[in-house]
Amino acid sequence: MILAVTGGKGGVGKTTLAYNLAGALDAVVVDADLGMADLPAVRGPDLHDVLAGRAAVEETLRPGPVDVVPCGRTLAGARAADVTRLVDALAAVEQERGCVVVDCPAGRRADAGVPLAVAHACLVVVSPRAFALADAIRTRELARELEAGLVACAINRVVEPPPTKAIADALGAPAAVVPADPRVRRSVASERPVVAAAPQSDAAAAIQSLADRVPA
Amino acid sequence: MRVDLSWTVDRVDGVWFVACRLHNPTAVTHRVRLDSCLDGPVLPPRQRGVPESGWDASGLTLELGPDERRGVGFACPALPDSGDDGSDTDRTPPAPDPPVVVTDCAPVDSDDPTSTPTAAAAVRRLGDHRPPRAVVDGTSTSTTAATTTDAESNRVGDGGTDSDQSAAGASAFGETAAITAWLDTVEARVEHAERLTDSDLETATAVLEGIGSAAAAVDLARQVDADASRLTRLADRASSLAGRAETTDVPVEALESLT
Repeated sequence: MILAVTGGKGGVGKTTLAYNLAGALDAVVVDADLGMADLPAVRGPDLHDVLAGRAAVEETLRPGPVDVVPCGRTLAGARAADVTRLVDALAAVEQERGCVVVDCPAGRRADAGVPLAVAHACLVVVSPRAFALADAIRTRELARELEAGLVACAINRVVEPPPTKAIADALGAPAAVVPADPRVRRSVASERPVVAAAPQSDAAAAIQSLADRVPA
Repeated sequence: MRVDLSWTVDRVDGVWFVACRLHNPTAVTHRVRLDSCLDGPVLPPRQRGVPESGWDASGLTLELGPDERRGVGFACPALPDSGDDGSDTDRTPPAPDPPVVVTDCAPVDSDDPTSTPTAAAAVRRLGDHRPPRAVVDGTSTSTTAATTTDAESNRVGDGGTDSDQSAAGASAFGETAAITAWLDTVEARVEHAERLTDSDLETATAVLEGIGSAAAAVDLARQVDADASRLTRLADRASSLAGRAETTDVPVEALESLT
């Protein structure tokens, strides 16, 4: 199963949600944000090297509470990356580990489209603010054209009750509300997915409900 | 062979350009394989660097619907004759006739599952994600220079040296100049429109002479309408930004004590 976590707009919390979702699914999370990687990285080969043909994806897999395929931080690496190599790379990780969550970049360029073309399903992350919804709808259209079925949308970092039904209707998928929680925000840097760090929290319950919607 | 094929070959600057026309006169969809007979690599049409669907190193596979006509083409470098004595390097062999052949043509079941979208198709359709070469090389173009200036002026906690401030000033000046120029243009249009609003015949004639014709006045009205909505949006955004800017409070002293 390859699940793309996408959203169109930057800064809506795709990376955090992808990491925590991978934690709930016992999956590998692949940081495919080639230009603005966010998931923790250490020295060694990363996804830039894989997409430039310099490394096998298995070499980049970094074990942790959630196993991560990190991405490089350089513009040169992003420029050298052949995004079509992502097809084989994701397939290889899926074959080895079963379930892969791909943290997609913002926008509607090739680096955002290819993961959707490869993925079996996608999850759209949307901020509760109105302006973010337009980007989410465009991404949802792109996902539809590239045949990545939408399993759910996540209304992320919610403080006040959001218009859940309106968002779900606009995107045509069940919407789950993920409340704003500092433990979710810290989870990536501290490498403690919220389903493990705070299993009783509302945020963990929301992420678990999203994970339950992902077909095996 | 149940598919009609015709072609033309042009040679420009040492490259063969092969244009083919295919027609399926039958009533069923056919899958057609077209192979190049030219002695050289097939250079297929590309979108964003990715060959179009169906092309490979030696030719093209495509599906032609009932009575469908399709034009396809490719390029091939015309290699100089290797057997030549070298005195005339420009001599190239004539293109073989035919330059392309239909090597396979079979009806296909129209119930075939449609091809799933591929990564190559996504790249063809969507824009290039890669940062421009100039950014990576650090070569000096106006864009990168502007970016660098912005980046430098955005550095926080440098103690606000004079050079930083002048860089920020220069960049802000460039942006302000563009906005001022645009506002000046809008102002000129609005002035024209104001003079035409409820004007007497003499003023209206004078303004119309200034802007050209009655048709130009229609354009003017449309542009002023567009200006009005754009300016309202700008005003909303500007006032909300100003409000946000005023409410910020960067704890400079506390940050300085950290460094």
